[in-house]
Amino acid sequence: MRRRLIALITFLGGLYYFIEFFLPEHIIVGRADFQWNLFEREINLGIRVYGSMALGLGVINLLRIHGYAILRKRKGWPNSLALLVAMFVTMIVGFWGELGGNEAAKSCFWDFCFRGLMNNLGPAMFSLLAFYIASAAYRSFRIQNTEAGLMMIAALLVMLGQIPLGFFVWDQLPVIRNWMLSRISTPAFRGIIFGALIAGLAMAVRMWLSLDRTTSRRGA
Amino acid sequence: MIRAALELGMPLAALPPVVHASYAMYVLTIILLLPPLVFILLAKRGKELYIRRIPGIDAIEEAIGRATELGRPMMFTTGLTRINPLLYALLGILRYIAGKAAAYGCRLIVPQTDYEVLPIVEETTREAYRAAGRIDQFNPRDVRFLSTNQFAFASGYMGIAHREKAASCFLFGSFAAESLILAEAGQQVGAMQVAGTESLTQVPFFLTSCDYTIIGEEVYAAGAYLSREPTQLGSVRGQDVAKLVVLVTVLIGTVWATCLSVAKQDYREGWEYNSEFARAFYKQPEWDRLLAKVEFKDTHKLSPVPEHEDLEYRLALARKKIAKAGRNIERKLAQIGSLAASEEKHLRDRLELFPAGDGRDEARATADILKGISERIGEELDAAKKDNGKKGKEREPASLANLLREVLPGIGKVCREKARERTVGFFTPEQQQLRAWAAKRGAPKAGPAAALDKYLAEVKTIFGNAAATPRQIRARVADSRRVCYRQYYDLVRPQVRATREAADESVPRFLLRTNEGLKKLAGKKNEKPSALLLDGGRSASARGRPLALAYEWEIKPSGSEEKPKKLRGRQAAHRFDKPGRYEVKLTVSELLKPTLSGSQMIIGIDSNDPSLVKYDRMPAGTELAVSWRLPKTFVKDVDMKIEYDFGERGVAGKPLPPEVVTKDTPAAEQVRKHKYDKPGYYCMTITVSGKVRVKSASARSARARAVAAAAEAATPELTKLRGRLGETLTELTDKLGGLNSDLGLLARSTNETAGRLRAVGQGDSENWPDKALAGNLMGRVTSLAAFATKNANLVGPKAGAAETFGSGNSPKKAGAAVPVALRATGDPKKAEKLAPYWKRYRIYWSVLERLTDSTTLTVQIDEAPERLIAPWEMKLPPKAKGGGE
Repeated sequence: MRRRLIALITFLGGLYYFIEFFLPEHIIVGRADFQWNLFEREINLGIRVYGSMALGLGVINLLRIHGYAILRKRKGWPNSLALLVAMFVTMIVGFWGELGGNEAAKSCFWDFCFRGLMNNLGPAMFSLLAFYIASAAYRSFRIQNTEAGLMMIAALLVMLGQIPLGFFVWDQLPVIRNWMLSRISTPAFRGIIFGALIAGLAMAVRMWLSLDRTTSRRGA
Repeated sequence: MIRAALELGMPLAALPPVVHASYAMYVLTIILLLPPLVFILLAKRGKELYIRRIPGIDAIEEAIGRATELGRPMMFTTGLTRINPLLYALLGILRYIAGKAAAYGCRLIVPQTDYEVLPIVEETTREAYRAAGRIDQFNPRDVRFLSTNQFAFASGYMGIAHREKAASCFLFGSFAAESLILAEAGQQVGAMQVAGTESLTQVPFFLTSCDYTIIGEEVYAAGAYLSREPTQLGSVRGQDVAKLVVLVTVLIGTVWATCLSVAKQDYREGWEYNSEFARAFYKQPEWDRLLAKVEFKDTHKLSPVPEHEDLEYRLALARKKIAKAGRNIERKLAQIGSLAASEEKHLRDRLELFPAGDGRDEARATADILKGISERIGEELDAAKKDNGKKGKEREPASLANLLREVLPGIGKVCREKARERTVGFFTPEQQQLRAWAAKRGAPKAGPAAALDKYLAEVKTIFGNAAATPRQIRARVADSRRVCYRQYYDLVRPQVRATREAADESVPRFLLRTNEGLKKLAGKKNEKPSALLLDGGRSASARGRPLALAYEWEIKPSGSEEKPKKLRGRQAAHRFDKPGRYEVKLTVSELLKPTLSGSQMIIGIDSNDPSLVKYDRMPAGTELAVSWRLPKTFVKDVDMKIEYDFGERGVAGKPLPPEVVTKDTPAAEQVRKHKYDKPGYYCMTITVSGKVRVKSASARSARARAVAAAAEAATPELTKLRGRLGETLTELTDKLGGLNSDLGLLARSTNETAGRLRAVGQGDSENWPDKALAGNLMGRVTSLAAFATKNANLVGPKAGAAETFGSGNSPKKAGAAVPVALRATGDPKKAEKLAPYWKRYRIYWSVLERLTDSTTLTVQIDEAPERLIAPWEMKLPPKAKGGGE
């Protein structure tokens, strides 16, 4: 019964979007126009509100994992403590700023924690990529077999075609690079996208019609 | 979708006005969906389906075995995947891995970045452990929520991988820049890694850092491959067939395009960068290359909506109203009918309780009457149902009369009169309109106006004929109406079609259309569409190629000096309030280089609230005016300072000093203006500092007192307004009273029947053997009477509504604000204190080159501007020699 109810709700929910996309833009009722997408905003809002409830689950998960580590004094528990303190301080200052209307406190915290701290830590992590790309490139450019050799040649041509030095070496290198990207790489990418889209479409239909046991709770 | 299509270079004219399925999409959807569904059915019926081996998926088993042998944990992440079909494909893989981990006693850690996905993943893992019979081994703390931030998640993942020394890592899902960080973390601890993603840009990173990589659709197939479930296997096989269809289509298209280009000798297109055409194109001045060439004809005449369409619209609305009223009455009648039937049955079952003779005869006669009522109602409802089946859910205006006409004696005549009045009154405006329309176009008398005259005369005759049955009346009314409509449709439609075709043939590149959706947006269902939607979306470059454009519309009456109304956006809705000539100026701006053409647009920076201003692009040379009102809590005599730093550098790259605005700055200079001439990226900083006055609760009550005083001052106006409302409602109630009285007759008649029943019951109740039964019967009779009385007010506001509204001028209501004023005490000035205030805003600009062209057109509004359908035309210049797209 429960499974059927879930399947019914899933089907009805999907039906709205199906109809909204596939029926003509305006459905004429008499001469007064009726637009399906009138409800889209409300539905999307509802979905967002519904999804945001899961945020509480995330917080509970964090409390469970790191609270456990702190209580049991596990290895690295100060890190867990720092995480929880940061989370609660952010929460309190956020509420204080919003509800108490204290602009100075809100602005100060925003500038210090987000612009000063978070915004810089993110790029710092991102900058690791520069080193990782170098090490990954080193591993992959070792010519171990024919495929790796082909890849090396292609990468070399594309890199040389990209930089001014390549143009000075041979003025046809940018053309070759362009040809390789537009005639070899792009069609391959598009082929993969086609396949993935069709697979996604089939998966979506399976979910919509509840044909797939993966979507049910007691599947497998 | 539109953006993607633009990037692929599709002409904008080929796109639909909204993202919506075209006919090609219907066909494509069927072609793509049919094979998976067919194969799913086949698989469910037991057909064995073969799926080729995928090495990456086979490696999953090996990775699990490796982790088990080493006695170290495994990690599985879905990356940045949100709730979408891909996630459900990944759940199949996760279930398999978690099941194996449970069976082998190997620990599985599942870090998560999305809190919505977290519970789903946790539940799936738990289910897999339960299915393996090892639920005791499942540790909820191993399904971890790390962060919604991409790089915070990546650092958390790295930390876990290093601390736990993961033996195997599974990276399945959508990934972005963090993919290499995750994969390298596994590489550093020597884990065996299997990755699977549909994010194509991340595939190279996984290829270089992971042992096995599953690409694109193979990720979707993995779940089927591992679970061997018939539904999934059938789906995978069906996808392959669908892909084959697409492949064949691509091949046919390729051959066709190649043949076409050879036949036209236009095969140089592929070598855009060094073809003659490209060289010629890039030799042109940039101005000519980039600008949209938009030209309009000098004068465009907008004709008012054809009368017949307006008529149809009004008819449809009226029909809907009548149909609703008809359905309501039908429902009520059905209730009355069923009540009458049950009463009749009740009465007949207890006939022997009545004393023999007159009493029993009277009871029998009453039962007969009740039976007659229920049958008559049933018959009418059946007839109405048949009619509804034939003509949608329309109800003829006369059908109200037909339904009520013979239900009880004495009502039919009144109702017929009412229906006749309503029918004739309803059609009178149509008649006048059609006459005016016919006179204007010199249509002969045999045209629609004459047909309607004839129809109305016939209606009158029909209603005059008392012998006609309701069904006859209904049929004749419907027939004559059909004839009438057919006549003027035949006459009007070809003319409209011819006009439209002529307009389409001339220059169909640019369209103006009424915005049919506006009235819905306004929430007024019955209001006619009143605005024109100006659509410049088909503007194109000299090559016919869509560019990244910004549209600005300026509308003003022709020849007048008044400030034009400005609208922005590809589509802009404007209401022309008065007939006359209007000048509409369209300015089209190119913002980006053609290689970056997308859907970037200028967003107006006219907000006074800096918190609303966001990262934005704007064209060079635009004067940026920045100012805002101080927050409500600020008071004028408190020292406040606003510093504007526009982020532009002066000589030798030194930043220019900020421009300061204080309370002493004249009001005219408080709006700071700055012109960015050089393209580039800028960060504007606005700093507000000083002290702010904070009001206490007593100050707020002083404010409430002021509000109350204002409300008191406005009381006479309110009283007057309420009086007018009351009068209007009284008038409305009077009008509806007529119809109510008809229904009252029905109620009275039912009451009479009930009274008769009651008389019979009371007369003999003393003699009845069963007092309880007698009481029950009397109760039911009374409820029937009450029900009929209640239904007397089916239409219009309830009695006394006008009095209720009309009495709004009573002192109690008008002075509602007075108690608030009495409560408000205290001195507002003493209740304030000063608090430090400081705030800084940073606004990021990207200043781009702006190339602009504009054109003007004239709109002629003839009459009846409330609803317009216009063939609106735009002419493109001849295409540049050498081709184009």
